[in-house]
Amino acid sequence: MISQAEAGPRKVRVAKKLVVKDKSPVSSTKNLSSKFQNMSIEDNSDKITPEYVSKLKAPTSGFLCPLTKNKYIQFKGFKIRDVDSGEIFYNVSDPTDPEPFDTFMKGVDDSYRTLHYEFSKNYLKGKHIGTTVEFATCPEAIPNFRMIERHYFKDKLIKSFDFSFGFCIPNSRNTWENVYEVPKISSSLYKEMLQNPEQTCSDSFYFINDKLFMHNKAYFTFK
Amino acid sequence: MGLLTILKKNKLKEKEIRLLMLGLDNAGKTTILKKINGEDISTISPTLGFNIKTMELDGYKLNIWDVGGQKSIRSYWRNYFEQTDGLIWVIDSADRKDRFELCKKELLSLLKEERIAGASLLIFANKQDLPSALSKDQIQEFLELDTIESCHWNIQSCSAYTGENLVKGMKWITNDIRSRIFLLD
Ligand SMILES: Nc1nc2c(ncn2[C@@H]2O[C@H](COP(=O)(O)OP(=O)(O)O)[C@@H](O)[C@H]2O)c(=O)[nH]1
Ligand SMILES: [Mg+2]
Repeated sequence: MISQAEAGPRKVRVAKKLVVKDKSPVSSTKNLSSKFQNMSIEDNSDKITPEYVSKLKAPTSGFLCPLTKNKYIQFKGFKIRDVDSGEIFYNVSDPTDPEPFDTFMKGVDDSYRTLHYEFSKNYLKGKHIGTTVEFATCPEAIPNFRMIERHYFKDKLIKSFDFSFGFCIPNSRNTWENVYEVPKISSSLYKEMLQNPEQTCSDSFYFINDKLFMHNKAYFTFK
Repeated sequence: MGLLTILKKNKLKEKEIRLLMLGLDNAGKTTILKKINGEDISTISPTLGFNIKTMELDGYKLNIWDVGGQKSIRSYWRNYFEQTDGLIWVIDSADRKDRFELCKKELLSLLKEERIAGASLLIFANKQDLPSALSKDQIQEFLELDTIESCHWNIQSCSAYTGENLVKGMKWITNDIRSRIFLLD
């Protein structure tokens, strides 16, 4: 996973060939949809809706869903670039096939979903930034995949994204690049962000059919 | 028509345009997507899912979906039709004869789809840098584009390698969509 790829040695797994099985898209979507409808309300995360997280005004104090709830998505790459200058601030990618989706979350702790990034300070001065995520999906079709991301500096919301990927093909590998115009920041805020490592942070919430199944946190330092 | 007008109006308010890029595998879809974004095109692997680009253009949010074109993936294309404002159909202009036949068949069956019938259609006759490439006129005739009445269409010869005509094609389709949306208002 990305945090580990960055930190150094990671579990090495034998790469299997990624095959897209010729399944009927309709039936497999139905399977997963009904699974989500029947999900028992055994933890509070079932009550966390897209509307709820879209109203959050500050970073959450903890994670809003258990790690083990994610049996659907594995991140395989992450890249951040300045679209105008071409400068690449961050780039990791893991070309290997995903681990078995039922078990890959076993035995991992919250450090798995807490990411720490250190970027060049040029990042704050970029005009257009492109962030790319790459992810592999489970053997079942995902009917309606949506991501909501909230970025804060010192408990103040600075930007947010809400993107619906919609349908994901079984056993697929997908990318999304979001190219956005960076809101101009004052020189005092720029200085403050530089001087306060890890005070810029984000919560990323991932939903299938509006049910939360993954929550990651990231902390940013600019140098 | 009523519902469609309301849908389009909502879209206008959200200022979002959705383009779907399809075509047989190896046509150059992913390369085109990367080239228009100023990305490196030297290492592109086959698409086993989708690549999406979100960008801003004259105050609009533009979402481009490039979905893999391999045979095993084509049956999933229909999951991406909903809300599509424009279809970009990419062709390897130097492809084999039997692949051209297949390409025509797939395009014609797409155009029968109700959910994309009204979308603007841009055809990119790609790989024009190759000496064996058919011209856009030859392709237009082979695909019998002149018989299409269900939507606005346009064919552009292009090369994802040199970048020739990519922006021109993108301008045509986004302008066509915007004028259609405004007309409905
Ligand atoms: N000569 C030439 N090759 C191209 C062009 N565009 C794409 N290719 C090559 O065609 C192959 C397939 O491209 P790709 O973008 O993966 O096609 P896709 O399957 O439609 O996404 C790759 O080897 C590209 O380098 C072009 O304009 N000219
Ligand atoms: Mg591709």
